[in-house]
Amino acid sequence: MMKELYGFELLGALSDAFSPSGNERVVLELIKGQVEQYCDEVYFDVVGNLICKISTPKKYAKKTLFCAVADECGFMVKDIDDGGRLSIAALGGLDTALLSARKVTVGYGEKTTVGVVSSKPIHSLSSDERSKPTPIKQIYIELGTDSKEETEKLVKTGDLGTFRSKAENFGDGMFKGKALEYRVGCAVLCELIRKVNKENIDRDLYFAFTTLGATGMRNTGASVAANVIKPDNSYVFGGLGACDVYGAKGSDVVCKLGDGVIVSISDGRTIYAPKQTSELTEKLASLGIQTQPNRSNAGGGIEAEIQKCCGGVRVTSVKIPVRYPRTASCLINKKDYESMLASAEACL
Amino acid sequence: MDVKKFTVDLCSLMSIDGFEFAEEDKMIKLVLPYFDSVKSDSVGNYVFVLKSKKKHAPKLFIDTHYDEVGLMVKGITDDGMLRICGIGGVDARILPSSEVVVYGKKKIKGIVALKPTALIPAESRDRLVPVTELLVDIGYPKEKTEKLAPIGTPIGYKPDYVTLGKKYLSGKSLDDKVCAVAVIKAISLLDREKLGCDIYFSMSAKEETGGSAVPCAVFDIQPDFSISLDVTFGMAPGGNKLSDMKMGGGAVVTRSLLTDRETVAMIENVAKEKELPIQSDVCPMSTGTHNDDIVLVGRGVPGALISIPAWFMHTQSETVCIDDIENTAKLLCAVIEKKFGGEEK
Repeated sequence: MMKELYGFELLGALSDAFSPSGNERVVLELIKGQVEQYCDEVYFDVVGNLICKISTPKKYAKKTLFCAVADECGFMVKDIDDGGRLSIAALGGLDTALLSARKVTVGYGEKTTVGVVSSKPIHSLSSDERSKPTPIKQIYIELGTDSKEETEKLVKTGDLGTFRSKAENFGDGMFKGKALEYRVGCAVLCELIRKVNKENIDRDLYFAFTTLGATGMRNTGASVAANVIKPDNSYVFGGLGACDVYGAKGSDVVCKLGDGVIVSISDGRTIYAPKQTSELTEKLASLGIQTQPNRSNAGGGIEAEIQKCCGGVRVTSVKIPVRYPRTASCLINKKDYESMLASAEACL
Repeated sequence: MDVKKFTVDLCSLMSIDGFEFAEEDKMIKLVLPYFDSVKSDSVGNYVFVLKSKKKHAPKLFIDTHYDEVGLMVKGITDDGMLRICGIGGVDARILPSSEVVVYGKKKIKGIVALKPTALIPAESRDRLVPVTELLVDIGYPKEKTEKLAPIGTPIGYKPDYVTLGKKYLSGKSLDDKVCAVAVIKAISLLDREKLGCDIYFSMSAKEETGGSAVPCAVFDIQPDFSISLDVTFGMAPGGNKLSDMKMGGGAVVTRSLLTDRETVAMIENVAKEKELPIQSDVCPMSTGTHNDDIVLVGRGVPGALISIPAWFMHTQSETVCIDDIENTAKLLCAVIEKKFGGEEK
């Protein structure tokens, strides 16, 4: 049996897992191993979502869906040239300018190779090119192979890739890792599953770890999960991009590390279920859990999908601020993460 | 001597221009076992000496530069972030969201902070944020940051080494320490009994900032002959086909007004005799390396330049082919034995 991980050890393991969009199975198997024994039912659905169910003994019970995105920003291998180098295309929200000179993991499933992202060498750039981000067409990945044949033994076109990064403690009470904007939600749901006492619940609890969420597509795995489960209400967990740097002021800040969890009233794509959301906010206040507003209209992802599924679902989102999302080095405040763990319990 | 392990050990050390002394104990512990003695001078060069058993032996000066590019703390913002400037030619394309090490009161992890798009004026969004406008996030409040990383603290790329494929090594500051590895490997291959010269191996300071310190070492030693080693541009898509060298193609021997013709021809002949791969580069005037700073010092020194091709220079993922290090070491050893081993003259 897999060793059970808790706290930042668990979050770190999930962060390190190689799961760009389309390769969610790696992180999902890890999650499955962590929670399986606490659930009545655990399965992968048609589009690869991991669904875990804890049933109430009560008959005709209502259904609550807890949801978190499992994948992370990445890229796909488009072509292999005669020298064995890879051309790539970004998947959704990846800023390819941030790939320059980074070490990356490329592959499919558990079979991976390390590469270095390169582009036109600096001495061959014009002064204008030097002051601009490198266009994706000039970016390629070097695997240290000498030919197409040698590369094809390691990587195929259509394989996936993302940053190579190691989660660890950072600065004064912070935590660093890749994909934290998604994996904080996954880690919180794992811990929540373990805390459920079956005798005390009057609803069927579904926990969905969904696919393709980092692509920014209008419909992702979460739509399918909600369509199949048909929940009455739903809570979505994850991260919200914090811009509390470079002296940002007012709504530009969005949210601030260390100021607690965000239970948004609305964002770019969603107006959250008013009653359920305000009840949760009040409950968190009464429990002394620190919260902060979403100062802008930023955010909005799978919540909007779930809200419009079936006959409509009451959705509330619980987020923590994540600095530098969609990079190899996201930062969170550990206190915020612990507040989110406590908030998740309050949703039960 | 395991070339790959030695390279990682040496290149992981911090030696940003002006801070070459920062981890000198560790560096000397690595390198000194291959030499008789070491002397550092007042401008930051470390010269390792290996004496011949012959009396009045000629002096061979071998140079690689030990410094590396980096960043420095220029100021601290109200929210505890570090304002920075570059030391040497820092590539602004690769900085945002890069992981760095801040060499303050202790080693501190840092991230070059990504500037939120909302804070960049619309007309500048297609341009890179200049290095001097970037900040480094170390996750501490201002008061603590001021104590841990005061103004003047050097910042380097995070050491993270990977093997690419079977024979490429990638990580920070292979420029130019990988050449030092080739020299040390060559020394380990030498037949000490046959050594006909005194070797002065300088791990020199301040090459990256252009304020080269090596002439001081040359002036002090007054060598009879010099070989400089540096990295050169490895061939890559979009590069310059005329001047870029093939990775894995062997040591690069440069022909220039500033390299000694006889010496270059001798090196090329040795390579041919020993069947070692080499490549020729032509740099008419400046070679852009320490060779140019050495040959016209004091009474003048006949000099040669040997280079190892590298990719992604001045990034955290500089890459070389391990075969090139090994072959350069073999060539250098053969050249020393041929020129000074009593086989010639």
